Amino acid sequence: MLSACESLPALMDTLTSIEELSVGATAMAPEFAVDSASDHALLEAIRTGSEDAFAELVTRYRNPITSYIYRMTSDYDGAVDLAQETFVRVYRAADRYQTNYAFSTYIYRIATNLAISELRKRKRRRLVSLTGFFQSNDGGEAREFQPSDGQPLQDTVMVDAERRAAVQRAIGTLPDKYRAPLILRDVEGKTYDEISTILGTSEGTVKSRISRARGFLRDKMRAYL
Amino acid sequence: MSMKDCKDIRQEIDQATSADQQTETARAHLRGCPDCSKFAAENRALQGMLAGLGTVAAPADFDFRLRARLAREKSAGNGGAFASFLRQPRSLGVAALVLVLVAGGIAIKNWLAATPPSAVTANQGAAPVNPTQAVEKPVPEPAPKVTGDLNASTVKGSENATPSKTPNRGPRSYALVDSRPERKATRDAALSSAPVFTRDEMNTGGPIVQVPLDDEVMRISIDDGRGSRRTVSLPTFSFGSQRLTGQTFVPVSSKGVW
Repeated sequence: MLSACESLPALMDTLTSIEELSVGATAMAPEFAVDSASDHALLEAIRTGSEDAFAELVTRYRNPITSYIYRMTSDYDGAVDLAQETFVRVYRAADRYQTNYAFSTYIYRIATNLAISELRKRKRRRLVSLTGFFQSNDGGEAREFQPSDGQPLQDTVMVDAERRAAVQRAIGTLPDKYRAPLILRDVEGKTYDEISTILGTSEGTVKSRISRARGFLRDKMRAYL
Repeated sequence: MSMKDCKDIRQEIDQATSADQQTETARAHLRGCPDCSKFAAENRALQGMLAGLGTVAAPADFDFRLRARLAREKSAGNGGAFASFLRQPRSLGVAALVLVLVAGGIAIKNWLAATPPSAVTANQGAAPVNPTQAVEKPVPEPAPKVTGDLNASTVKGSENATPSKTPNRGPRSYALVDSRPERKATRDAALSSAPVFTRDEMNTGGPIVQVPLDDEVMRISIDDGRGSRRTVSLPTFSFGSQRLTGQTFVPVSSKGVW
């Protein structure tokens, strides 16, 4: 259940936390193969108090959700925090989840709302990007933080890394209502139907906003196209 | 090729997932329209870059931190409001302690300010000023005992004083009291008793009173010999540009100094 990289003291602390979680469980979930279970089956198991089912759900969606929120907010640490908040809300609302929609749509909707709320908070706070302090002396554009995506960085792909960073910066300049559908479509690979369900808008509106967003990016990324 | 055709074709290109989903009409249009062909190429490149961003991985301790967060929330929901209050961050407790200390300090300061400073005198015979009544009770005194230097006007004033109306009071003595109820009683705070000079000594031209030239207030007590004493505080004075010599005290005549 726990990853192998956790140290023994951390493991002991985790076991204490899990024991506390299990105290309130009304019934123990029957053993079943969580690896091959569907998302809905895992949610059913979570309702009955199965920690394994919740752990499997976290394993499946922690990277996509973290990555999606990072693309939305351009803030890795904030994205990790919001991703955890997403799973907390899923855990809290497990009893109320309805199987009308796919679970991925459900969890992405939660993540989208959290990301958009964060973007609105930033606008109110008028935060200044810390990376702005690391501008080069020649007044060049500030470099945004680019977390590792797990791929080895070779000399031959340095240009690609620079291009990805430029794309992320360009996405960060998009208006909020264009950013989410573009990322869901072109980065996450969601269908128009799924995107309209996630965002709660019509499919026509989704297509229109994606078209506008691409137009913005084409203008900004013309040097790279 | 009309503008309407280009607009429709570009919309179709935009919504297509890949070039395979383009209609034959769109392909034919692209073969004949360089602008739309350029648009299609840029669109493909852009979508390729966006798809190539990849997935950003969550940190290795994501699961651990999530479980800890859930455990905290669960434990925070137990024990009621009081238990949750006890589990508040330490900063709240520190802030509460600071507030208590500040409030206590202000209360102590106010209490100290309300208490009048009391002066302890080494002169046992010194009588405190009675703040209750403003009574000037001149008592005829042919030869009042004077301590320290004496202002001649003061002596004269004692001679011209009205006799007390109180019978069997004996020689006149002066006891000027403060009639204002808001003023507090004061006491002589001298550490040692003042030298006593009689009137005869004063009339003969002496004695010489040594006046210290320092920043301390000089106090002179006038005793009428019948237990009444009057204390006069003399402010510090300087002689302008006069410089002090090696002597600490400068002799001053008892007559007409002030």
